[in-house]
Amino acid sequence: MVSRLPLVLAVLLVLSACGRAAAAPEGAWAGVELARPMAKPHLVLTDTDGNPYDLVGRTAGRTTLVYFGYTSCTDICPIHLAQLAQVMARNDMPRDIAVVFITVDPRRDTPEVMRRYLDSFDPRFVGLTGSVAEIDEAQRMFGLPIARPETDDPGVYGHAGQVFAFAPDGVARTVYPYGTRQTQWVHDLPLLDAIPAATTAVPATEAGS
Amino acid sequence: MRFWCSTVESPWSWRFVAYPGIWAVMALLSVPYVIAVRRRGDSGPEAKRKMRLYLAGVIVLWLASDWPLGLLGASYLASAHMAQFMLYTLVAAPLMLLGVPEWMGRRILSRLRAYGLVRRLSRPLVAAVVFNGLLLATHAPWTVDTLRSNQIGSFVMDMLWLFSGLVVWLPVISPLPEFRHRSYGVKIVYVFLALGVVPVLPAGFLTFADFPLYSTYELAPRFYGLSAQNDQQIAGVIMKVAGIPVVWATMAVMMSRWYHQTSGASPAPRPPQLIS
Repeated sequence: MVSRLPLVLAVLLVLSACGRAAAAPEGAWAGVELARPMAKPHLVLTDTDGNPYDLVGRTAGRTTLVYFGYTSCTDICPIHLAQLAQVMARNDMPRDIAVVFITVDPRRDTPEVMRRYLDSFDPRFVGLTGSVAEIDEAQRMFGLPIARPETDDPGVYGHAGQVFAFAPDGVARTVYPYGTRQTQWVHDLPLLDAIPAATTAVPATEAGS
Repeated sequence: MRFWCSTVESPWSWRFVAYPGIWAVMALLSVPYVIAVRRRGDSGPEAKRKMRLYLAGVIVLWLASDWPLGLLGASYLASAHMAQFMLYTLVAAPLMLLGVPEWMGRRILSRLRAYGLVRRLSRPLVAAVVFNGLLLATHAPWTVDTLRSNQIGSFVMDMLWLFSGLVVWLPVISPLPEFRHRSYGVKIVYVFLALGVVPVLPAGFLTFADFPLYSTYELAPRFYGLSAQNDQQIAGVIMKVAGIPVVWATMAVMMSRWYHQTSGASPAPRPPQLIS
């Protein structure tokens, strides 16, 4: 029996490694892996009820998808949001995923406008706005270029097109650019959601650093 | 200026878009036909009837290819893509075949030196395999996403549809009598299997797929909020049911002819001789 102990330990080690791999399968994401995982930025903006929304506090322990866009966007934003709404309506998806939409056009995207817009996709989607300075700072915290109106059409914003996916441990390991398909979301969301909230195995850089 | 409908990234708008390439192809299909018939001096009722059928086929082809349906099918909706396919293969192609006079069919095949090839294509088994092979190939996700993304690819796909539509109807309504299968029984079974049964299989995949199959339509700006999944299901339903009236009407006409042929009774008066 004693002679089998190393074998049993080895099997347990392999099994534990497998379990860990299922939770954070490096190289197995359908999304685009970040070179350096990113911690969820500490930002406080205004939600569609007009209340302060602390991103880290309100989404602690939950898989959180953060996207910068604007409600008048005619191409990338509605496609991303429609894809997410379709995926989250599936029965085999985790129930408690937070989708946070941060406007890059706070002048036009009032809380009411954003609520109406997001409700057309999924009433659970969170909309955040703020002053221009706050929104600019939020984009910097995510390491994004600041969205600006295009010179020939001030109603159109050039903005980053990727969705940041934070696992329940508050770390983003992947982003999902425009063109991400539903199969990719369905592959990754359960994996992200399976990462325990307390896990700190992946060294995360501070956002924006 | 674009010559053929292909994928665009802008949201759908009802603003008219001109596709001169489509008009040119339609003119190439119809003007030489009219000139050839006029030169031959064919002005009898049969020639007029055939010309009406042929031009009706070209008009259906044009409506299926051009804005708005052509653009919707190339860029926004799998269901529009499927509607195009059905119009090409089940309406435009048979109308055009019915409208080609025998002398013109012989002349075209002689000039193209394609008599032997078309004779082989008109064998029911070959025609069924070619049609359904092209149906499967041109509805495979990779093919749709690749060909629809550019104008030349989109043009190729539409021409393949027209070709497959012409081929599948050859054994039934070829302008050249020797290409039509002699047996009504064989023709009825052929139409049922080639046009009625086999296409149900890919239609099932579309209807019951767990995800949108085509990135072209999944990532397109939404058309009046219709989700990619629902759009794909509608495409599957169109593929399944839209052919039923054509297939069953064709079979009914052939059964009637077959009955009159075997019973020796003269067939009921019929307007145009659609199926011989």
